Amino acid sequence: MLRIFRKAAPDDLPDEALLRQYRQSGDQHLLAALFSRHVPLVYGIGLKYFKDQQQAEDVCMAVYELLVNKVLEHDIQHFVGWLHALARNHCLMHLRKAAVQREENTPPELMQSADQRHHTLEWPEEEAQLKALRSCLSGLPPAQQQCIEEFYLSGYSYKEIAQSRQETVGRVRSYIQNGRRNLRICMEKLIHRA
Amino acid sequence: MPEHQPTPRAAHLLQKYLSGDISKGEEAELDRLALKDAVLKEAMEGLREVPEAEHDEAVRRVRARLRTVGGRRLRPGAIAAAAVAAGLVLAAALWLQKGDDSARELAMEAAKPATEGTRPPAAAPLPAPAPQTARPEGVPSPLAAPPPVARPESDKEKTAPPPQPPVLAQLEEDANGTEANEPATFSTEMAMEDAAADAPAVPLQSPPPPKAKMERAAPSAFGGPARIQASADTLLLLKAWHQAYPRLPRAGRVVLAFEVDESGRPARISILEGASPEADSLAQRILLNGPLWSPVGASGKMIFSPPQ
Repeated sequence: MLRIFRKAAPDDLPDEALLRQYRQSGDQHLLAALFSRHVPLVYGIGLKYFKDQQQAEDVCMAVYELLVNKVLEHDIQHFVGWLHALARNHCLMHLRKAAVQREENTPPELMQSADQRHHTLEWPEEEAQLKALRSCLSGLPPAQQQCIEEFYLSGYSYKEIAQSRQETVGRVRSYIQNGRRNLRICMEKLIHRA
Repeated sequence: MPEHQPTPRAAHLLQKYLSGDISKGEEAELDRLALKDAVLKEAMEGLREVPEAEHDEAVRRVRARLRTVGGRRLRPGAIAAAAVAAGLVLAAALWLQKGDDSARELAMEAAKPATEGTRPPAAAPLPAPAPQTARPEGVPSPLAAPPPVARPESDKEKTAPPPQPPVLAQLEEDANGTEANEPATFSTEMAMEDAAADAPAVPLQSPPPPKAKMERAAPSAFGGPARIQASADTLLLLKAWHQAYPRLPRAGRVVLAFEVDESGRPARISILEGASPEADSLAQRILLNGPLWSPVGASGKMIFSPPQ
């Protein structure tokens, strides 16, 4: 209720201004509002290191607890970059404690580029590419094929496809992601053979 | 790779990706933005590690927990500030009072729990309520640290009326039942209607007898939606919200599910049905700034009452 009487709502202030206000006032609402903006990023970083949704949520809360004091101790120029480092270090520290060795593996096919081109491959002419794509698409499992066609060819969103299939968004996302990977593997094989 | 400040566009697209409401072109744009932003890139890699997870729900849960955590730690002098603010709220409530109830009233309805088939078992007779610390006079919002409140042993609680004259909401036993010591879980359906500046703050009425199933129209305190009068500070919140977001629709529906912690405050809030990020945030804020929840029961019935 006290926020009503403030000049600007926390949501309207940039990160640095919110941070400054928190340092001056110690009002945890401000810090919570600031951190809440970047929860998807911290959550994603937690998922990357722990590959578990519950642990990623716990990472978010643990990082927030760290944030309460560390924000007052450090002079932060770019909050998001600093938060990223804090979250990553927290995850790595926990992983070291658990003596779990994880490799950072970023398969290039997971990053979608606008022109559907991978920089390490020389793609054949467009017609041959389309032919390979059609062939590989038909070889996918039915769920992956259908979801990929609906997402890329029909232009539906994950949510719309999930509703039509009566499945969760996560499941549809998984079909499309795995299908994309399988398509790329299949097309690389066909191209190498050609 | 440089670490850039995330753009609003990137944050918007990331939120769409989380909810699944993203098109192929938008996802491609998000990936292009991630190529320039190390933080976003790493987050996308993590999200794609577990593609089948419901990321949107997870982020909502974390944000709900943050609001609860942020709300419990008060600045020194918050109680004194709350007393001053309460005086202003009362003055504003008198100013807002006028006109037609049905057109201007802001209703917060208590609905049945969201999940059918998981109803708790018949509640055992509850002990007499523990004495509750009285709130300072004229402080309608729980900005002060909440007094200890007897935690309901029964499995089901229902929404309590806002901080106006105490209203007893009589609740039915539930037939299926859960463990007596499980935290109470219920859903509150808050229908936000147009809270114009002249919405009246009318006295509360006792809710009608409970219904077995959730019904939209019947005001029931249990087993169905119940109309709860808005408090003056809730109306002020809505007014501020409308001023902050003038282009957003002035009516919406948000369905929340939450538990009640030992102090009687709503906790672990999750959004079962949202309207927009701003409306969802406002609904949670209204809930968190609403009354404390306390069980008082006997003879197998749970009665809800705000602290005296």
